[in-house]
Amino acid sequence: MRFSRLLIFAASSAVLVLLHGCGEGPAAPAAAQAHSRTLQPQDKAIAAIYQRSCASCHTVAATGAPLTGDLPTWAPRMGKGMNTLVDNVVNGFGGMPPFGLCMDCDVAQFEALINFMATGE
Amino acid sequence: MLNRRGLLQALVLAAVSSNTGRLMAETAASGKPHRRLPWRNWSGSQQCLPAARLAPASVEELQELLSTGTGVVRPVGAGHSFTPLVPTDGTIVSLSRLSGLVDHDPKTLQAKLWAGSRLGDLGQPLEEVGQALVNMPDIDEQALAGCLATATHGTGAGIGCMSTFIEGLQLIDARGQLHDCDRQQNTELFEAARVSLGVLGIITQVRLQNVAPYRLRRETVWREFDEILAIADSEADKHRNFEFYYVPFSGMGFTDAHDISDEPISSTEKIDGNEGARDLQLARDMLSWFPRLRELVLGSYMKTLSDEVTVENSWKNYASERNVRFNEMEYHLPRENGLPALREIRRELETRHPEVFFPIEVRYVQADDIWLSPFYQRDCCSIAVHRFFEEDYKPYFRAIEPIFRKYGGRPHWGKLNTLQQSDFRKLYPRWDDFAAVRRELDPQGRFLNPYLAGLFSATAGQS
Repeated sequence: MRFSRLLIFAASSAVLVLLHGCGEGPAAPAAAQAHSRTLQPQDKAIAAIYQRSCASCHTVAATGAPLTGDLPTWAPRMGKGMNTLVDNVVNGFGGMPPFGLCMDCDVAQFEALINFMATGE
Repeated sequence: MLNRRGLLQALVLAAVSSNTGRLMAETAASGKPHRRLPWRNWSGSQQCLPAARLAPASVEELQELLSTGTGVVRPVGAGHSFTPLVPTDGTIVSLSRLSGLVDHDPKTLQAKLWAGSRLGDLGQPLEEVGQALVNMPDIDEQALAGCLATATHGTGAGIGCMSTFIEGLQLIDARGQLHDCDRQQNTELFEAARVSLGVLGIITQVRLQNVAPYRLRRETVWREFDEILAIADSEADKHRNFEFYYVPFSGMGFTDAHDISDEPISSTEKIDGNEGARDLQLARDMLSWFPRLRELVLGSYMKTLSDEVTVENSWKNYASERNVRFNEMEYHLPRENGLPALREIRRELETRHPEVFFPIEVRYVQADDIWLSPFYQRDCCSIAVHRFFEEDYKPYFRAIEPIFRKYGGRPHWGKLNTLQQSDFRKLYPRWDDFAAVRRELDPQGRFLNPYLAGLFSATAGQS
């Protein structure tokens, strides 16, 4: 009985992936999402990249991406080390495609973007 | 349940780490200060190590880049093409800094847009000036230029691919010279450039024919496969946008129809699709050894699912975010061949490919007159097959492609196929005309990477 319920759940939810993608994730942490949308990098060039390449996912909880300025979520990620995080951006990680959405960013820019999103500063 | 999900996540993380190891090691070894980064497409199936990745901030910068530089230059959008249109060891050029609305005409409902705009970023600004795109694909992460270069499409038997909305465009050739073309001036270039794979030059601006903002009612209905086949053609003609999916090893699928509506914005309950993909994969892992049981379980449950209705502004009601990456093959078949081909694909899939769990997607697209459009002079039924991005797509796609070709299909320019120049020349009556325009604009082949050189180099034919 338990086995069949598992399969039933699997069938139903999996088929719907092509319809719904990630648009309806778990209940959004509304406060963290609202906070993320108030933050901007101080550096103008980095801010421009952030706005066109990062904000569309990292300020929307339903995408599953860690929210900008959500320090508890970022802490274990930062614990992996900056090189690992940059590698994850370059190679793609989970739902994030390779290079995020910045095809021209260099390592220093990726590091600046990650630092900003992880700290909110 | 939580334990199962935790295990899945651990497996996925492990797989990602192992797949990325080689390039990560290469790049790490190169040292941080001058680290040369590999480029990959969305699914990771295409990659290269370009000498430079640039994003000019103006048309003048782009002209300078092309007129003074040497070597191969390939434009890149969002990297959503599965075919090797981008990879080069030369220069990759992103138009991400050339995005947004340039101007608009409220009388004609036309808008001039920077070609680097992401589709998903266009809905709001267009709505603010009283316009909306005629149609959109079911992914809106792509750059506008990339969509148009590959004849990207939505669904709708009475609606053409995205490139049919173009009324004019601006292109910079390999020497850095600007060209403007539309239906009245430079018409030959216009016909060639509307679908041009980035081999004629870099398109910087496009003028699109839009419509007034509209609201869509999207209705999803679960049905048995045979019922879908029985109604598909009439439903495609009845609805503004109609598509359907078949879920392998279930006997079931769902239809998805959009129609213009003035109903209030609303939505029925939705399920988390990303978790669903992992769960369907797990179901495949558990039941692929017994296809009949798989069909019994999946099919029985799907019959209990409720229909779903979403009413939203058009630009919010076409696309879905795809956090589950995949590789894809899609062919555009003469419309009358679509359903017979689908029957054969299902038979092949369910006889020999228990590893597959992604649904088959079927859409409709109206004929056009664009030289390299896969919809050139024929209404089409488009059929797409997918594999999870971490799994080998080749055996499945190798088995399905002959069916597509047997039924006269032309592949989507951005989706996996094995066709060569000689194949394309047979499929496209205006191929040589396009090739002549290409030679004129780029005689040195600066926009040809190895894949595109194979398609257009003179030594491989007359292209």
